[in-house]
Amino acid sequence: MALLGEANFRCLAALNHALAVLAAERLDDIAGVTLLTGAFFNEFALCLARPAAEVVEKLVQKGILAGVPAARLFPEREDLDKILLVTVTEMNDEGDIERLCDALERVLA
Amino acid sequence: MSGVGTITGNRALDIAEPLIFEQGAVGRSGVDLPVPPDVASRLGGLERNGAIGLPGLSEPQVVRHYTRLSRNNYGIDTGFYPLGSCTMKHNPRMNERLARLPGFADLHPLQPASTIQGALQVIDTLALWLKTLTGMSAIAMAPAAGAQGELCGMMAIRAYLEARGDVRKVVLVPDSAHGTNPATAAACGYAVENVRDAGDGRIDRVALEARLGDDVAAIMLTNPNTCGLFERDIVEIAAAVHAGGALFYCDGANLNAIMGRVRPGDLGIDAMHFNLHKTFSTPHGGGGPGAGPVALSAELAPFAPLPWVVSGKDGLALVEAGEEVIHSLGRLRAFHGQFAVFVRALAYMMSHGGSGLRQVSEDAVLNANYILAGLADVLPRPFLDLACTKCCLTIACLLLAVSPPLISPRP
Repeated sequence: MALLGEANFRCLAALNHALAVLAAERLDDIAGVTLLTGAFFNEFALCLARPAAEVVEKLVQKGILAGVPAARLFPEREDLDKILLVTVTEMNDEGDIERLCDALERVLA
Repeated sequence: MSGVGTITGNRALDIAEPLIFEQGAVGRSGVDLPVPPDVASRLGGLERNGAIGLPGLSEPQVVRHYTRLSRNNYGIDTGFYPLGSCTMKHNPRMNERLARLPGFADLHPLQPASTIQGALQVIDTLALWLKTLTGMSAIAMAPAAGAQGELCGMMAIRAYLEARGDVRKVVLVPDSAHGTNPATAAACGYAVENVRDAGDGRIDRVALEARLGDDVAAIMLTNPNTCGLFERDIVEIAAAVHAGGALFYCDGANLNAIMGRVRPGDLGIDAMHFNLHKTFSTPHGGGGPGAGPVALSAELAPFAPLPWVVSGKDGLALVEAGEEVIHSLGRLRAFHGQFAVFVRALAYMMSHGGSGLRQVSEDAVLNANYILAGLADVLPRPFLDLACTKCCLTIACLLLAVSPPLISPRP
């Protein structure tokens, strides 16, 4: 925080949010993916056409950590089986987002 | 700063260091960030409009500020530092490097288990070493530090007693116990009763055995105790506690003095926490990270908190829910334990080996006695109530019986 200072702390937050919005809207356009979160900072929930844990494992094989299946956090909630939680930060760039979307499209096809 | 003031506040190389909030300039920053893409906000009207109130500093300003502050510290990098068992250990730089390996440091705890097999292997192997050192059945790896380890052990004891329909109300704590012990028992809902020492710094066994009864859930004993003395009657104490239907919790904060020389499980202990940061090297001065795994007897093992690391058909797996863990206490904290401390502890253990760990313990006791002997002329009896270093003197007292009111550990 000392290095970022007032100006870049704001910029970092804006960057996180902007990249998350880009990712959420791009993912929402994929067949079999529905964005569930209306307003967010940099974390949002998706409903997938297939179990989220299965999709995450398939994307791992492509070198992508896509997010956290919500059922892992709430194992007693069977209705969360297809929910995936995604976080986007400044550690991801627009190319990463495109690679995630392309890979997810293929997994869900 | 004493003496005549100067215009800058500095006195030669003694720099008057202002707070970061007293430095810098508006708009200045020590890092460069990309310009955010242009998107429509989805913050739902929750944008912050006012100033945050952070200063703006360049990178050299930040580096100079914290480097100067670090030079005002006295620590193990600058001299002998016998503050206590937390910090007196040799903390090899190699362990720091290993804990920072990207394959460890960059992991996310919610990654799929298939992607963290190496990390799970670290946890599992460390648990195996701890089981071997203690001769006990299971290790609960989740607790974040010693006091939470105590809480975990006592919660397991309470759950075990309740599961057998045996509700008890009292926990006995000797006056030579660590200060957190009675607090832990109280936090678990028990009435705490003190057991006096016998006048020689060790628990009064007669008084203890007279107090045992069907209302006593457990005893919490620190061994070596806070006076630095090994409880010589510990096996008989354990037998009496068990005969009364109670369980035996041992505070393992002073394990450094007996590691590799005594197996706590052989003494009749049912639960004992480790302070990995004390016994197995993690820089801990100033309240740095700790880790407090708990060794459990076979009876208490089913109550260990989540998650459990188990072997499965696809390698190691994390058990976080389900029938298999129906008796578990559940989560004590987020995620799987203090992983970076685990790495340091395992590195410390593997670099020493079994015989090396025993040698560490023997050297610690010998060195502490050397210091105690050196202090004999400068720490005469009238001054012994000064707050003294912890394990330095407590370990020394293993061989030189010192009564408890005379020397007290620094917290």
